[in-house]
Amino acid sequence: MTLRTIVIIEDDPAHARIIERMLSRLGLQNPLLRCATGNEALQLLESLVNNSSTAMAKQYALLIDINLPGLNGFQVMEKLDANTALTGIPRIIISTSDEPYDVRQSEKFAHLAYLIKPLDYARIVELIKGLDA
Amino acid sequence: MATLTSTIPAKQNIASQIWDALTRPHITITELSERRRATIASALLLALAISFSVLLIILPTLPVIVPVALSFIGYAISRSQHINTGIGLSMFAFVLSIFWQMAIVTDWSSVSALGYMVWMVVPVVLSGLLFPPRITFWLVVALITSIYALRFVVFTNIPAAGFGVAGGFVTMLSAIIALASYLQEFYFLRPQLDEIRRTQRELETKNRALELANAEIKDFSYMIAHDLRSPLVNMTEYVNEIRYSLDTVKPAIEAGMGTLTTEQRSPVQLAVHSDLPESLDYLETSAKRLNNLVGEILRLARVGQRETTQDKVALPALIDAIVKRYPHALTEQSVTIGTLPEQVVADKVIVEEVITNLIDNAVKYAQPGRPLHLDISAETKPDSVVIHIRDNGRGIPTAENSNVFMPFRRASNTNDVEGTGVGLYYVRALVERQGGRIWFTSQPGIGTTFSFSIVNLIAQL
Repeated sequence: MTLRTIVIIEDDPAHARIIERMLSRLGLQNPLLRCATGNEALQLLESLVNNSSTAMAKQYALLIDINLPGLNGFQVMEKLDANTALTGIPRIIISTSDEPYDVRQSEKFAHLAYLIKPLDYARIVELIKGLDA
Repeated sequence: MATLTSTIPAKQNIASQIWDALTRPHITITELSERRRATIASALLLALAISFSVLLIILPTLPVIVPVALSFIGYAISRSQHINTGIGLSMFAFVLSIFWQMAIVTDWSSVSALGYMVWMVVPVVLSGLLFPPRITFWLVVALITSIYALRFVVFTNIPAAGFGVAGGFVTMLSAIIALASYLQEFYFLRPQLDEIRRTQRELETKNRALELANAEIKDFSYMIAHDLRSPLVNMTEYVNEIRYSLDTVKPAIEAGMGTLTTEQRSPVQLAVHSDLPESLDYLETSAKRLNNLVGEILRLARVGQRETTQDKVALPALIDAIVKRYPHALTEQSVTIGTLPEQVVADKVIVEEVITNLIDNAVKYAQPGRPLHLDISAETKPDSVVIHIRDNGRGIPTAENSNVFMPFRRASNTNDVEGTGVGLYYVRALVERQGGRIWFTSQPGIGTTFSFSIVNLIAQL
């Protein structure tokens, strides 16, 4: 079985690169894709949609940064949830903010975890491996 | 309450000095329309009193003393803060005179009724302009009283028809007074109301501006939290990445050392084992320091935004809990806690933050080599509770006392301790946020006592 692709939706290339480095260093072998904006990610995912939605949910996982230019992370999740093919894709929210406002906003969307930077990469690896256990 | 500021004019001719002396309102009358009324009242009442007394002297058949005396007394009283009493008394005097005259001359054919009407209407209308509406009531009382005064004191017998005439005039006068009061409202009350409404609108505008500013600060703090923190996180993470890469490269370098001459070897050793790690360490501490500073600025920005609450704060338990967070620095022997009030009404979060910061400072700035001792006590005052936190730490250099509560300022004897210099600025903002004060006394090398007050709302009730 092919490993699911992890899409990292993060506008800061420095940070996206560190995530990639740390995940692979910790032994994660899943293919990693990078999107710099919410729109880019949505376009990418929409173009990859097959007929069956469960396939998407099993083929992909998302790391979504809240602070994105244009559509922020929450708005991206809103749009994903509006698409039955995409809503099932598991996602991990990453953010610099521990503001209660943001945490509350995140509760409106199904997600595996709300992680604050600097990220606990081991935890991310654990969560992703757990998806296909 | 507005205070009276009198500006003495540079030069005043005799005429205006006399005018001033005769009509200047009493010193305690501060409100503008009141002062205006008082000036006009004085001037008019004086003019009427003089003209009336002149007139009555010309007609020698009338007893003049009582009403004239009353009208002058009324004038005098109108010059004090009791304007309305003065006006009322003067009006009473005028009306008394008028009815006196009327009662004597009961034959209407001999005197023009119109003439009498004018005589009565003029002072009443003018005074009506000056009366606050409630005085109307007193004026009617004055009218009725004067009729009976006439009846019983001066004349034993007033023809019934005379009474009827008097009653008619009373009714008419009341109508005139009511009209005059209405006019008075127009010229005095309306402007005041408009003034009040204008002030209210100004306040609303200012309030909205403040709310907008507050919202902007919230956004600004949000921006600080995210946009400043993000690159700082990157810095720390990449420092670790470089360390990791260095560790990866070290074995190869070690292996290759053998191919270098002794001269070539030592700079490489220096770079790999000393300079590179040291550079990375300094990079890391700088990033961490910046991150702390951002955190403190964010905390500071939040101080003004949160609404202060009134909680029942159990002081002894709170201080105990805070002290227990420093099990190594603050053992049982090193802390003395005096009698504290069981409960204080204040914002619990603020009180906890303030005490935590002060105790934290005491621990941080202990005198190296001397065991720290903390002495926490409280003073209960009529409307506040003052908490003293005394330490035997290194103290604050006297010359730098004025910097203690300034932001980004640290004392010169703190180079060995980490700090951003924002802590006490933050603490003072917190203390003052709930209406208290904070101050300190210190002896360098001996110790410092920080004291702050909590306005105790229980005591104030």
